[in-house]
Amino acid sequence: MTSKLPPYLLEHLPWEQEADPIWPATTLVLRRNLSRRLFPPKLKEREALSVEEDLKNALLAQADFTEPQFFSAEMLSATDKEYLFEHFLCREGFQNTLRGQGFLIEKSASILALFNIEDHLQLHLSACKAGLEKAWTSLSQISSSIAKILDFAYAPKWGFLTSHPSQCGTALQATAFLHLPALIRMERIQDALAKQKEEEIEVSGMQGTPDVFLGDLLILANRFSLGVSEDKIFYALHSAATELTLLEKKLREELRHDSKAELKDLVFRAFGLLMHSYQLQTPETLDALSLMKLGLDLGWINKITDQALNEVFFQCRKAHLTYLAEEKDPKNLPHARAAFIHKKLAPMQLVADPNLR
Amino acid sequence: MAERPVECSHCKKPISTLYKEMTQDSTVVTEMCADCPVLQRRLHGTEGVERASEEKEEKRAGVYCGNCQTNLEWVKMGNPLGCPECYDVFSDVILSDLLKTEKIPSRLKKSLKRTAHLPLHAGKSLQEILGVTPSKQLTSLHEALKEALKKENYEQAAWLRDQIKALQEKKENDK
Repeated sequence: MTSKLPPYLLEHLPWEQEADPIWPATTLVLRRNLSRRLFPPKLKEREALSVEEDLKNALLAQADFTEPQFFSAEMLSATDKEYLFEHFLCREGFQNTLRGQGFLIEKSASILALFNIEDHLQLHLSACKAGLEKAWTSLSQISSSIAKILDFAYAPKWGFLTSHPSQCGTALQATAFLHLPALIRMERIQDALAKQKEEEIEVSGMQGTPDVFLGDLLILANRFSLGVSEDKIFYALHSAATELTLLEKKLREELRHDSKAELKDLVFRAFGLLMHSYQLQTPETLDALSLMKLGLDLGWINKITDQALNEVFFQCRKAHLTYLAEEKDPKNLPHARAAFIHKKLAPMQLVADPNLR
Repeated sequence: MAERPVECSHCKKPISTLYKEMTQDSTVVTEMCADCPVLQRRLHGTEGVERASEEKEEKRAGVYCGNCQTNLEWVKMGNPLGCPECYDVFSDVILSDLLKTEKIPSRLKKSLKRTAHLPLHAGKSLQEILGVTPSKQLTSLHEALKEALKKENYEQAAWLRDQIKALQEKKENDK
């Protein structure tokens, strides 16, 4: 199946260089609207195209962007849009986007600009934990240089105006993705969350639900955009994420010395599921891969790296797999996923347990 | 740390009511917030109608945005605003909604009880982000135009010329 997306986007994954097994990714989203224009939900097609043109030109003139490319929503297939959603770790999908809405991508494959989707401009940036400050500097520089060309909707009382008032103010959403399998599988996560004192942070799983954590990934995001400064948002996110990371590390250390049979059994069964299934659905695959990452860290699995598992974690999702496995029929995807996983994880082995011999 | 609330089926507010409607053939379950006009209408049929007519009255009385025609009911249901001017027109409704849905930090909430007209925005201002005056803005645009012409990007250059013209007109009007 062919994609209209540039090859660099299909070849590079956001997590491929990431070394932190617990805090693998961070995303920033900055929303901006143009002054004297209706917000996207009220824009007629002609006006939407004119807003899109203005923003496109302003962004194409950015010196920071390497080979930026614009894609109108009507140009991209549903799978391409799903691919962007997966690649940039977005919280909302783009399936309903139409003419007058569009996407701009550049060669670093870490910035995605959305045009006329909820707001005139949404700048998405995915970064790793260590790159948070750098990512913010880069995002605010882009926003400043666009502001030198186009007028943003702003009011001193409300800050940067967005179509949803709950997102006005800084109009910034910072999100940390934490991989916490030990806390979640040992049922310590609710206690850990209850101890968190940051009212500025809200927590959810990948599907937006507050208590189901697919792939043992916990998503922390700032709850307020209005009434807080950008620095406060980063401070709150950083301190909540660091605290949970330390708790996870501490629990893993305990498990390393006193492994729980139930947890070890879960890891061994997940290994069997990944290596011997004929069909695999996305949720069970993500959950099993999460246990492989934990098993690897605890020394129960070897002959594979955390980076390789991260890669598969991304690639087994629907749109990525559709292109990688060149599978046109969605009905065959579960089998294509199982075959892909068998191939990618072929060298992986369980560390032999003498008692099982 | 707060959990992300489960949202009303009709707007973005947290749910408070599970509304189940059973007919001969089917059962429809809807999750709604306490303020949902749809819920009011379903629970208190006539009251809902009265409320709707009251709101129509409000609209007639002018509670809608003159710039984009967004009305009060639309905003109360948690739908997106239509334009920047909606923030002035629906200021009180937006603020009370943000307070109700706990989208404002508690320390600011307390301060708002004492002084209603506090500035809500605590982040960087537009001026801080810009760091430039309109004349500096013109200089940047001229530089970008020069660069575009150097690269023989005539489409980009035409667009930059339009932006320069618009900014010059704006400066003239502001005088």
